[in-house]
Amino acid sequence: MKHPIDHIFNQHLQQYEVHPSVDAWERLNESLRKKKEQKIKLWYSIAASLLVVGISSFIILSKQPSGTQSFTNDAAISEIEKTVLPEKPSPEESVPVIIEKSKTNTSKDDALAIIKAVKPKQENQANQKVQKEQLSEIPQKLENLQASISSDLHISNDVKMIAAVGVIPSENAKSNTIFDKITNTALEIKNSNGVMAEIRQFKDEVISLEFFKTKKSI
Amino acid sequence: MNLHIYTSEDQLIEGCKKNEPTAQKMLFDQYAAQMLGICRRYINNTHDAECIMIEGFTKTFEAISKFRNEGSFEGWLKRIMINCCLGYLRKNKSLSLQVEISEAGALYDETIGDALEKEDLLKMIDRLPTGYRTVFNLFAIEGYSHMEIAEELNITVSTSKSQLNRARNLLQRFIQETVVNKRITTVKQ
Repeated sequence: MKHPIDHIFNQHLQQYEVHPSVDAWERLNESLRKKKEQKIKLWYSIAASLLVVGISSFIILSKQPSGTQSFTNDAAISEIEKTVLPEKPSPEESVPVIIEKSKTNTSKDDALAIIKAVKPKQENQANQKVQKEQLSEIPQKLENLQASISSDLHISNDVKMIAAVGVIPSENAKSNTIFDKITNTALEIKNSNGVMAEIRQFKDEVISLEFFKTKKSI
Repeated sequence: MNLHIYTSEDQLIEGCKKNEPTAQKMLFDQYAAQMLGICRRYINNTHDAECIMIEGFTKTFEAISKFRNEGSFEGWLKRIMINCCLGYLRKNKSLSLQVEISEAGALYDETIGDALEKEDLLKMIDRLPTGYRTVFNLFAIEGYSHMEIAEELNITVSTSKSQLNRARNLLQRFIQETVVNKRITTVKQ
């Protein structure tokens, strides 16, 4: 049951009406118009910011493809260099490398063989072109590599001259490196008239005889 | 200029959803007085009450696309108006609620209401402190429960109850004063 006070007020004021002023609708209309303008401004600002984002992203994306291309090329070259080109050895690794090179008589043909082995890995035409370019550089790089290895081994020019011409340099010009000493000793043995020289001469004769025999049989 | 004939409230609401000014004007004309009456009960001056009513209609027309015809439009509109009034009272910090509890007087003359006019009762409500007035309006006239009032005003249920009792006590006193004054005036005449 409703409280008497509540009942009195509810009964009289439930449908209580107050007529608004004459300009109330105009004020409401003005308020609605302002809200509409605010909405339009909001949409314009959203559209403008989207346009700015769109233009800036277009500029960024239109610049990016050339950058991406060069990056791709760089990546491809570095990949090829990893797989195709021999790495420059460190001084510690230089001796085994030079032995291997001398054994296999590394030349352009060997480099080609390496490339052929690697070739199946290359999938597209563009990469193959780059490989060919790299391939042409390989002999030069190998020479450079050998030069660097020899320099790393401290082989003196005198020893190189002995190896090439077979002439013993003067005492003053002799180097002190171990490799030089070994080479010099070997040359002394070769040019001397001692027992070792006779043995060596005999060995050379045997080798040459075997060579001629095999040649005849072929 | 396009002329539209709205034969039902649903058509009027549909017109408002399409932002048709004619429909908006018709809806405003239909409900403005009633809604201003509600606002006037919560806010004790007509000018501010009208401003709040205009704000309420603006919000209504903005949000009318969300109205799904599931309940009565009038109820939905009333709710918006009441929320606008409560927002105004909160904003102006006039919604100070006293926690003082006092019991209402036990005796009421039920025939006393017949001697009172609507304007007299509105004046009595206007004289109430804002907190009392708000709780009394929500409970006695809108039919809110104490739980709903507590949630709406962010107060406890006991505070809502105490505010209502205080309001009733004051209103009883105002009624007695008004009735006595009226009798004196009648005798003088």
